[in-house]
Amino acid sequence: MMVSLKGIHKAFGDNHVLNGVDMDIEGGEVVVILGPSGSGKTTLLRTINFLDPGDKGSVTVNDLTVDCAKHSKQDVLELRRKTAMVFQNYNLFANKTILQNVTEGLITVKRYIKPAAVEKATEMLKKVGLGEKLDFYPSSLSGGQQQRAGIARALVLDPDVILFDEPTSALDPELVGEVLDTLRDVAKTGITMIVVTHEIAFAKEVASRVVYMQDGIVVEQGKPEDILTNPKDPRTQKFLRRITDPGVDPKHVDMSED
Amino acid sequence: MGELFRPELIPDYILKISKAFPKTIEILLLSLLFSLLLGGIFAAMGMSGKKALVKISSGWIAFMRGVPTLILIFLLYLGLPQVLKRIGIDLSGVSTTTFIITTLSLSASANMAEMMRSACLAIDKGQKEAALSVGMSPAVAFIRIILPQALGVAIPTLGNNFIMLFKETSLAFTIGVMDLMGKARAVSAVNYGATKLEVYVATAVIFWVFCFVFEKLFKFIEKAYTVGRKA
Repeated sequence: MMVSLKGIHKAFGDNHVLNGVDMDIEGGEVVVILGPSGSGKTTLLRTINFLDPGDKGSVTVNDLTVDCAKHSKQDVLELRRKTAMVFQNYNLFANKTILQNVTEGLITVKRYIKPAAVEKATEMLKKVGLGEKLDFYPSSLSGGQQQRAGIARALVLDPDVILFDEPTSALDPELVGEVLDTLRDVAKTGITMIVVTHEIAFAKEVASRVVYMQDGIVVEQGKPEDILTNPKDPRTQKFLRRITDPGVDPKHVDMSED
Repeated sequence: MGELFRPELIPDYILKISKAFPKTIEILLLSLLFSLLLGGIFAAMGMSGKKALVKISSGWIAFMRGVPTLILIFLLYLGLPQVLKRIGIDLSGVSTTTFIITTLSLSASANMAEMMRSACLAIDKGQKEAALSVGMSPAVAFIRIILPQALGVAIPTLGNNFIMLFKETSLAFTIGVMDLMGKARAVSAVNYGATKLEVYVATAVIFWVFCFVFEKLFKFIEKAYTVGRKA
């Protein structure tokens, strides 16, 4: 088992965002998490690398299990070094060039010597189509380019699992395609991926498993063809009906009753 | 009685008074150094998230910002030795320059702490999260990612604080330090204050010129430091 989540609970004050999530993910799986806004999918992702530690439950990545309620700083650091994250708003280091964004983790965390880090990072950036942008600062790049650099920054660390937090949600529509293309390429490498997204078509094509979340629990999960074309749970059915409605913004699916 | 205002005397006064410039610079640079160190400590306490430390920090800042520097000088120079004498500590050997540097460091530390705190808070929290997500420890994330960006944000405020501190060094004369202002008073006293206006115009010109230079310098530093990466 590559990633295993057990009984994850998380509340922000009185707002119970996660109400006991269990999930077991094998190495090489591409798990796409779908759900309306407020369903807890982003929070679930952030409990995996302890950016928002859960209140209860445990997170296992590869051979390391960390208890959400009581964890040492060292545990969290180790866990984060087994994972990497791609953010909705890219969060590239604003004070570093694109190349430095990718070498930074190699040098400070993986203890690469600089020439080796530069070589590996350059190669990775070429793979995501940014070989010409190495010395640019993030602010001078388009959103799509920044996000591809964000993917390179995560990928270069050879993590056990990459967490994608709505990687295309902040992009202008015409830039979504290039990032999804990059994600497809990443999926082909066989790395374990957990992707929170609203891109149903992408889920159908790339996911090995689709998870539908609502109200802080996993409602239904399974193969994409089952979940997306033949959902059993009425909540999943309703969500898919609404998100595929051309008049609805897929990022803000309204699940209230008619 | 001579003429009311004799501007032709001013250049000569500027030269004479400028001889005290090294003293002013000594006070300025040492106060800057110590106020930054102190400010750093109080900024760190203010951002520590520990209730007691936050209280101490905000209390310190409120006090230091609320007390006029001149009063603080008198408190330390005139009041403190009296108190300490009673418990057997003698401050009579401490130079007036040391007293001034101490006072200015304490009073400026409040603004320095606020400058650092707000600069750090100005950095998007996604930057820290990204640093943690690649596996940096919080300390490394601060040094490699947050601090360099916060520095860029703080430079204009630092320039402001620097100029304020420079002007406040002119309070040193009140306890007899021969800084620019002390020198100006001495020059004026030579002819029994007959050319006060010329002397102080000369002093004002010196301060103004250096403030102007410092301002340009900080603008330049800001530009050079953030080149290429300002959004």
